[in-house]
Amino acid sequence: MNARGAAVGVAVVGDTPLLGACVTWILSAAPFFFAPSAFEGVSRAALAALPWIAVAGLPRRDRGGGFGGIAVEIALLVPPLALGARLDLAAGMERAHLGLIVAASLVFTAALSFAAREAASERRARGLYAWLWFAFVAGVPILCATLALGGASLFGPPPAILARIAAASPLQWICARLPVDELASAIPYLPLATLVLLVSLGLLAARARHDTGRAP
Amino acid sequence: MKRALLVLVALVLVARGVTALELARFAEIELVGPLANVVLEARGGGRTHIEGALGAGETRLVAVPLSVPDRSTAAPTIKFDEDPDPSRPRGSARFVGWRKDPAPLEGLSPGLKARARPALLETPLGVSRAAPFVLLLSVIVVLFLRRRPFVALAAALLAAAALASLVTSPVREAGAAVTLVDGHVDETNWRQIDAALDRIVVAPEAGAFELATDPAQSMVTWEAPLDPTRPLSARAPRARLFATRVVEVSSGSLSRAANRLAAFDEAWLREDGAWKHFGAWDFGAPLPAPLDTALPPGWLASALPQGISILLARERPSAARSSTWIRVAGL
Repeated sequence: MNARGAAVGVAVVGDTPLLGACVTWILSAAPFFFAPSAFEGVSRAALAALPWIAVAGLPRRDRGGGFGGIAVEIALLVPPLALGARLDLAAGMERAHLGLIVAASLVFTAALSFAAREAASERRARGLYAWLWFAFVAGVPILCATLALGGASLFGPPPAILARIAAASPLQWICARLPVDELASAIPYLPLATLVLLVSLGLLAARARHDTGRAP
Repeated sequence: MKRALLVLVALVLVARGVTALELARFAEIELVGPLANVVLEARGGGRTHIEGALGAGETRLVAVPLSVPDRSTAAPTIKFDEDPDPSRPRGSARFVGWRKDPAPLEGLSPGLKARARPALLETPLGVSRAAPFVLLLSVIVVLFLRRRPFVALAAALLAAAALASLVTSPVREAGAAVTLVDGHVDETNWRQIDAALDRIVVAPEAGAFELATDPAQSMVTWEAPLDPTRPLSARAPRARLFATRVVEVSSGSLSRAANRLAAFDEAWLREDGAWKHFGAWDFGAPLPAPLDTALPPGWLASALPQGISILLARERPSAARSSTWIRVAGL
């Protein structure tokens, strides 16, 4: 339990509250408590990874368990992801496509978790990270999806610039991998660019913390 | 009133027959490079990926199959698959029109058209009932070990390995891909059905064909390479796919006096309502003497015309072809 968790008497995983980690795990593992036919046509590996990619990068208030916290989050993700990948493989998904989903899910979760933790250690970086995460990971893709799903009939498709920004979101990338007939298996350069941006911010925050000699 | 109701029901049934799904209509698309991985989407859900790339200045007119479930004649939507570098200049793709092909099974007799399709057997995807419990156990162990995160990670990897072993893949040994040739010794137009589960490959030299799926409402995605020497393929997860075409055989290619069709490693003949098993029937040889009265595979011998002799045979397997069966009447 870290300092904040100890102060308020809440169990934590790294710096993620235990309840939050449990809820994310339940969302990730829930599809496997139903018959395989219930999710026909959907990649179970992508389904298992989606909640962790959404939660791992959420802006945080403190750095928490560092690499240990990231390891625990990955440890919670790995069993449902492995079961989902095995089901996808048995259902006929191509190995290259499946391998990309699994590798990208692990990299996205670890990198987002690292960036969020490191950015949390410095006040200005924390604010900037929150804005960047909202713009490139969650906010714009959700706005784009809302316009596409709800507003297309009235206003036409969403603006191209929004679609371009949304394409850089790891969350959008994993959502696009949910249908099993989605064949695109190109390396996700744009989401990786977003991760590089967020991780760089985290590293700058870590350096600033180190330079000023502040305790994490 | 009752008669009017019956007529209405009959009309609805006829209309259902008329509006059967169209799963392989050819769309002509003009492509101007540079571009790569164009995607066509039909109203109602059919999809085609045109695989391959064109360089700057290259232009090509291609005809690619597209599944049009609602038989709409509306132009398909054209998209470009994800490009890793969106700043790269992109060419264009324009829908020219639907290719006007004659009905692919026009030359077939009604009797051959009505014969049963090949059976494809598959066990369902299975997950052990232990899997959810192993998942629960894994989360309990990981949370218990959270103060030693790398030990927790090792435990999670062990759990992942255990979970992977609890899934059983569908068993598809009994005919995952089968070719069935149906014919009559007095006819020269025979029916060939290539059948497969999930994904079917159509050779470039195959000519006109008709695609059907079971279940009928399955979503079909075509993969059409720009390279004309590479085959087309259609995917419909969890469905059986049947590509049917007319094949021409020379008159008298199969008779009791000589087999000039193909070498068979198993053959059965139904005469006077009884089956005789002949074993192998070599190319060029006369029909051998019967070995016993063993029955042919049930799926092959079902829904056959009555009062006429029927030959069922399996072609000698080769590396180039999937399991091929012959079903010929009137021998």
